[in-house]
Amino acid sequence: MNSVPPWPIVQSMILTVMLPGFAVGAGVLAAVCSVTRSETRRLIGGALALAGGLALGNSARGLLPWWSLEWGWPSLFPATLLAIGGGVIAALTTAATGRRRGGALRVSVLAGCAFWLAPAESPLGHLGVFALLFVASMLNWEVFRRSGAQSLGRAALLGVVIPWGIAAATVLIHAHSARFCDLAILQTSTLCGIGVIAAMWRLDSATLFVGSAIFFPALLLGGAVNTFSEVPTASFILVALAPCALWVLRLAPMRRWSGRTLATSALVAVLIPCAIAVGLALRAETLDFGH
Amino acid sequence: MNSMKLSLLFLSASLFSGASLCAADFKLTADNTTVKFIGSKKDGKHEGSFKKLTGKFSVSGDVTKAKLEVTIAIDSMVTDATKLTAHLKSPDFFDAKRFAEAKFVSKSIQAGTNGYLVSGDLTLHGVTHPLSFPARIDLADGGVTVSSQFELNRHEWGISYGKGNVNDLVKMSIDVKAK
Repeated sequence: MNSVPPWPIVQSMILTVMLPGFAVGAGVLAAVCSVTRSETRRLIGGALALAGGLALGNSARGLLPWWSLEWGWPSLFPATLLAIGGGVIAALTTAATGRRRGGALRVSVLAGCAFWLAPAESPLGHLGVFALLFVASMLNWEVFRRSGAQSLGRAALLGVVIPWGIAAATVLIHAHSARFCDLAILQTSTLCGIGVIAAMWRLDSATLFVGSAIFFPALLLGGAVNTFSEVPTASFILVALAPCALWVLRLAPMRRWSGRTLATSALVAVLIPCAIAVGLALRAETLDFGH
Repeated sequence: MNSMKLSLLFLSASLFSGASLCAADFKLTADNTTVKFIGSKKDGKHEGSFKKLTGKFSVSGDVTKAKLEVTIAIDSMVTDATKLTAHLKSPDFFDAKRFAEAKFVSKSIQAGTNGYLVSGDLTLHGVTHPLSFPARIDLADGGVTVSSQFELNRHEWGISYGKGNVNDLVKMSIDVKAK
């Protein structure tokens, strides 16, 4: 049994998933930031960078249909674009007209995406899974938004997304789906590209994470429902909800933290559920790249 | 004259009873039918088959007027490597949770120089696409035997993940021995 991926597979992953995601994410946002100082334009540029990175990786690897009206993971690409665009519009609406309208728009977009991405057939039924996915994505996104406001949004969110994405990819590959693993790595690479530029230009990229807030839970839900492995459901749930660990930092004593203390605490908080999930997956399944 | 009438009567009775004997629906199950596949890549190949299938081969003496219908439970797939089976059932390939069945329905069976050419529609991975394959079909001893080897291109049914790593053509082998 060969549990280490052979070099051609790693090379293909770097060239067709990681590099396109990172290069487009960083390149587009850097280009936008270098030509405009407008926060609004930079935010739109970030959304375009995220969409572009996903699209290029998807094109190179053929991971998802470009358009689908099916319930569940096949609609992940258009639903994620809707979430990214909706997140940006909600942020701009909040800035222009106040929290209430922006919040209502945000909830509507996430509810629509969750409804779209909930699989039709599951033990809980479409509505049951929709409710769980909506709550998970809402909790994830809200904590990103609030942590961003707490100044975590600049460089540290990057530190949260990297372990989140790696944990998702690890759990999904142990569930024997290379396609879903590729998608987790593609999303993470694109966010890394955006995160690096956002840190350099001191942008609050939290708004751009709305796509991940629904993308990762929906992807992990797709993995839990559609794969055939011994990986426990708890692994998928723990990774899907890992950013919710950041809510701990919203508690009164930690609320005043900032700088390195806050960033390190955020990293540790997210690492704990991710590490447990990966540990459970590794204990349940082994990999065999020999086949 | 009477003996001629008797002969004609006997002949028509024989033909009628012969046709009745040949008209049959042969029930196909995993006990009398095997559907195997061999997927390959640059440095190896793997064999798989299906443990659950249902179908029928309806024939009334003339094989070219026969009808073949087979439904395969994708979840019943087995291969020579357990982890490969799980990978093949995942959304990377067969996506067995979304597309639980594969179905072949013949439209025509034409006689050829070396057996028959079976043509029909194969629904696999949610895609219905025409499929033709050569087959040896024999009706003997009140039963039917079908034997066929052919290749199909997985991309025609939307099973496209791993392009470049896993070969596009999959070798298929079908054997039926039904009574």
